[in-house]
Amino acid sequence: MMQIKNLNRNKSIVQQVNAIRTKYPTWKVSFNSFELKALGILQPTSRSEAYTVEIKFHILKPIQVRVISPILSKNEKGENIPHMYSQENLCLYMPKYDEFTRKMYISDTIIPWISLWLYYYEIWHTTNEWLGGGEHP
Amino acid sequence: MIPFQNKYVQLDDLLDRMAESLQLDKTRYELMIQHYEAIKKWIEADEQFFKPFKYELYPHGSVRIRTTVKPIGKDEFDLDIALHLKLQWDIHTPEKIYFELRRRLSEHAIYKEKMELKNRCIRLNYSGDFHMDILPGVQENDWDEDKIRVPDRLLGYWVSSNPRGYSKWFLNKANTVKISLLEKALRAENLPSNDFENKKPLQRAVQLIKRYRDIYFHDDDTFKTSSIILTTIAGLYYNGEESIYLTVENIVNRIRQHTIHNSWRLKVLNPVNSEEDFTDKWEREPRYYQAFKTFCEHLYEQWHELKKENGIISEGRILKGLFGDELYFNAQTSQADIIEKSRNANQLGINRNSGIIGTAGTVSTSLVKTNTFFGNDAD
Repeated sequence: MMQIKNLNRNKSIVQQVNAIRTKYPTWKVSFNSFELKALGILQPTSRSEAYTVEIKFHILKPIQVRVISPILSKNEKGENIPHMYSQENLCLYMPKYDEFTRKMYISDTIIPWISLWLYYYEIWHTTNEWLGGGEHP
Repeated sequence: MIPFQNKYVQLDDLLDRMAESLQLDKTRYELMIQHYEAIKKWIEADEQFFKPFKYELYPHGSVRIRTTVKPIGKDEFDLDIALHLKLQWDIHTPEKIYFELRRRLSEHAIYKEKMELKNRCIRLNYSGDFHMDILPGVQENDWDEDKIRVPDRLLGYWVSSNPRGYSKWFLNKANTVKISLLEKALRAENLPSNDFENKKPLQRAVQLIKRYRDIYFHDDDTFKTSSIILTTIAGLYYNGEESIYLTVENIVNRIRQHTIHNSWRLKVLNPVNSEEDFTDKWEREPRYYQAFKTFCEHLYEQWHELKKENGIISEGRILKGLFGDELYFNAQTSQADIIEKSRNANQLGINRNSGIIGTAGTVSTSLVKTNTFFGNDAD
């Protein structure tokens, strides 16, 4: 009984998929009972590049967000890109602050954050500073 | 919020921010007024020479037309002030006027300390803030309130000058555009427009071209193009463009049309005194003209690169190359500050069709909820 209650409170994969499809109709979303994969294009400002991003969400694993193209790169100084996990996935929120939980929609949280991240990523390249705040472990 | 939806507005916002940080700041502008008001009083009280005459003291040059540019690596502006005397110009020799101004200023303990004699003017060095160049002049005739004769110490005679008339000419040109692209965009978002009256695209364009000139000739300024030439060309070629980007583009294109098609040099005449050729030096020393051409060609190429829209990163490289890292950094940081404020106030949104950041609450936008970027930056 408890377990079902919990599942009810979390958004189901289908609910997540429908929310993305409704709000971001151009995104390509595929899914099964355990996971979803969403692929879409985001351009943080009109002078920015258009980035193809991929979100992978599995009911048992942490959400994964990565940029497919253009390939993200280090800055001129050769420094690692800030706010990433292993230079692979974007770190968009602080897990312990519950800014994103499974009760929330990806479309209302993760996707807007990706755009914001990309905005700061581009400025990080031109200024060598991450101007979007955040925390480091 | 910065209007990021329109690529021209977005670029103009950045160019405007760069120009803003070159501008004489309000504090110093007010300080300058205080100083010259005090100088005016001091001259007025001179029993020996100046007292019986009517005169005005007013800023001219870049301060009057609001195209000041902070010099690279220094924090002192050059400000031009005219001491415009209303008396019969030919009753005194040019030396006399210059001498009397020098005498009066040196009677004041503070001015005496700060004084430096130049060919046509007397400079007061307010170190850390500005140099104030005071140009003494006598009104040429009764019917033109702007024309003055100024003493030229090297030549030893009067030279006709019209600094106020020039300013009027330039400001008229700048004001041929009623409302700039940027102001329009900000108004559309109901944002208070930030003193755009004095920051028209032509004024911004002149600041940026002058700044680029300072960078370009930084290592070797032997044949550096003067500000008066650049400002006049900009004014002459300006076509009422609404955007800063397009203003520079048009000016540079027009210069190039001349320089690549004609073997004879460009002539830049004083718009308020066609007998004066600002570029007569180019006749005597063609290397000045050559340097000017190469400089414009480089700006032309870079400006066209910007047009290609290769993304913020390559655009940043071009802008840093043209105007310097510091200027670009400050402009970009101040833009990001606005995003940050809007984000903290929960007013930031993204357009769901494009991903473009903007104000939340409009059609097709989603609010950007509070988040804290995290992560292990190491490999």
